[in-house]
Amino acid sequence: MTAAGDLSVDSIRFAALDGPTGAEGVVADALSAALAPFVDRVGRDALGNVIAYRRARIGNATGAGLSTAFGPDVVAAPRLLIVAPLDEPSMIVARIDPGGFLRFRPIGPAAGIDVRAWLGQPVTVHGRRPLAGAIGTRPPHVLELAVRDVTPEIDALFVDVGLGEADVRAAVAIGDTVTLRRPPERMAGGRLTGKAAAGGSLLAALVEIARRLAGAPHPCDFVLAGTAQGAFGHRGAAALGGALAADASDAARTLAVVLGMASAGQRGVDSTIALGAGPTIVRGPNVHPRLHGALIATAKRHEIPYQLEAAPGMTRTSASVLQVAGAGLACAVVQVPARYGGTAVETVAEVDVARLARLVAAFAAGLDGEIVAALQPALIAVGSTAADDRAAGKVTS
Amino acid sequence: MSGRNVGDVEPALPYGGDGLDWALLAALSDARGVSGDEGRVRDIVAAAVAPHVDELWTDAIGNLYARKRGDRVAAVATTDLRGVGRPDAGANEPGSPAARSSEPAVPPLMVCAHLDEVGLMVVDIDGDGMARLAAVGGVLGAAVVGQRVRIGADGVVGVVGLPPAHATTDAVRARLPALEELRIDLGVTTRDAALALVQPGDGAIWDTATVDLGPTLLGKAMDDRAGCWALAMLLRSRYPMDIVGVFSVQEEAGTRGAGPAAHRLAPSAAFVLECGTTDDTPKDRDDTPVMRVGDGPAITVMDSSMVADVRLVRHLVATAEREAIRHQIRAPKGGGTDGGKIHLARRGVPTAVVSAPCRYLHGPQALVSKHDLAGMVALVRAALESWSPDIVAPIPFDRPGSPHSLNREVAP
Repeated sequence: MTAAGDLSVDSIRFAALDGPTGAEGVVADALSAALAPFVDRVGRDALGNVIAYRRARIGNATGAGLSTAFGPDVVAAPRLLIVAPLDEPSMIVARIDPGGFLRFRPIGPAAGIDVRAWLGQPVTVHGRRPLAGAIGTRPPHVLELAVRDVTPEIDALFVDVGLGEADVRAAVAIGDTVTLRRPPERMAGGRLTGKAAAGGSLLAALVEIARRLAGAPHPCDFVLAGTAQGAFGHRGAAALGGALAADASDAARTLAVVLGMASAGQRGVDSTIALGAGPTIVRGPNVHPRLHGALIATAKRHEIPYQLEAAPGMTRTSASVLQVAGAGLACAVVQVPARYGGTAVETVAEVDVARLARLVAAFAAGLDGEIVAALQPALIAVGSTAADDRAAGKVTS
Repeated sequence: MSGRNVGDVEPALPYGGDGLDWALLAALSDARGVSGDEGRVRDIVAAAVAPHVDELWTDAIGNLYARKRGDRVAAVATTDLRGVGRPDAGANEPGSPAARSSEPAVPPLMVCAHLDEVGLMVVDIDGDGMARLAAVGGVLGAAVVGQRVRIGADGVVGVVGLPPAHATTDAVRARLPALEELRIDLGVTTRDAALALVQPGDGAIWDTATVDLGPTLLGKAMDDRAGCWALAMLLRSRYPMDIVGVFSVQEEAGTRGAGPAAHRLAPSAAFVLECGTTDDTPKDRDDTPVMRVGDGPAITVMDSSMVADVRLVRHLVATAEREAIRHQIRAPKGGGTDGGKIHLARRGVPTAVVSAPCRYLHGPQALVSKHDLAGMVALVRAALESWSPDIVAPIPFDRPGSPHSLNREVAP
């Protein structure tokens, strides 16, 4: 096994990049370049999503003309959308204080953030030029004992880029983004740690999935996408889903597999999900039960270790918006287990990333019209016959 | 905020500061050396100063001594120092003049900076492979949580994690964890696997590479590699009298190295080169900034460990004014330095402290100003070059109003 965990692209390549929410261009460029060899075309939409298309292929033929193979209700080849977010936890400069200290806010919901994860962290301010700096607070040595163990409010934090105020004002504008400056590093136990260890790994997995799919015929169209603004209500995925599911018949032939990050058991998190035990396959209201079942079957058939993850509410992934985009999409969620998610020391097991890529690629390669047909809006017979059928357990959808 | 800011300095460093070796400071700050484990730092210092000094030796507890022979030692030796110098001073020191010749043992000036840094130590490994940690020196949990560290001689990577925000409650997030609540995740999940990587007693320190921000530097161990660096720069020059640069151990563990060093050297006076905390960032309270980054090297009058020798303070201030070196007086406040031990060594050593102002001290990202550091080197160099034994000559208590009286300004 390679250090990269059997991936054709090293996760570090993506985890080292800065992809602040709403300004994911650098990551998008890297993903586009990495996907390009394996797809028919790759482009960018209005919100900055990277969208790569690969048409269905049987033998050496492209998928053109295949549509009739999938029954009267399906007018084109089934389509599988596989998505992962491009962005990472990031901040935005809200004010420049006297002295050149930068006041900032998190991008995305401010409620429920953990300021502790930012104290003393090295950052990059994406100003007129990238500026290295650190998140500062008053030093504990000068604080009264009573408040030394009280987490400061976010208003007490600032970014210090070590320049005088005039130089700061020349280089930084309100609205510039800030990302953690913690590039990936390998650890013992096959772990990868860094500020975007999970997100970067998922993009590497997306490329690996594309590579695997390009190696064999497949009857489905594939859309592989890196979605923008994941930390801001999955805006990019919402627009992408809206485009793919705008038409009911397009929606009907489209399934989505969403790649995300699961919180593994760790100090302060009571969970049996473990790093190194395989990707999680999520069950819950965001996930279509049949897709979940199909993924489990795929994992078993290919002997890929996996873990079950229950998501009783909305997942923290773009499945929450893709599911209800346009006419609605059937979604599945597959996640890489991570510790310390969203912090500068986010950590994943690289073997899980490789397994996730294998699982989703195997699922995609094995996808045919049958499962798509089974997900179609079904006419349920009315009258006594229907009641009899239900009594006999024949209606399943 | 009033006051000068970090970047509001001349693009070119004053005081001939353009020849200063910033790469050496970065290398020193990046080297791992918590108290008791200073070897890597000592090696870098020794290599840096060896070409410029006359003698270099260590002692039983790891202090590094670098002697620079004075170019007017003979003249100094004829000065009557008997009231200050100790006949047995340094006589047993391997590199001392007395040990090699019949020259009288002239008490040297001691210039001291400490090699060690605050950090962590692995104290045990849990059954699940997570390492328990303790502070070496003044480190709080807030400075450790969410940080990546390097452990032991091999620099094993570890992380001190915290749960994702969505998995915690407001109450949990509102409190900064104590060190004993934290663990270092080494990536392995069994005690045996962890013990193959690290051992109890291994030092652990922030995984921070120094960044040059232009007018400032951001690195983990400016306290006190900035002082070590300044001392290394000073040892490039020659002075009228003997100077012994002391790179001391274990300052952060209770100023333990400098006392024995001062005892061995029995210096006529001592200058401590430190890196001290500022409180010059935005705040609600009307507290003193203690000192400000960018306002020049800070001269200590008093801290929690000593009252600085007023004659040395006067000499430093007069030197700074004469040489037009921007400087500041550190506001008397808590915090101690090696000076606290040095000034009590033997029968007492006149001691002063000059500090580089530092933001975010004892944390993973400490910020210092090149301007301040250039000023620190220039100030102490000029103070040594203009040194006279008379500055610390014994105070004759039978001659009120003498030039040596502490009250000479008001004396008739």
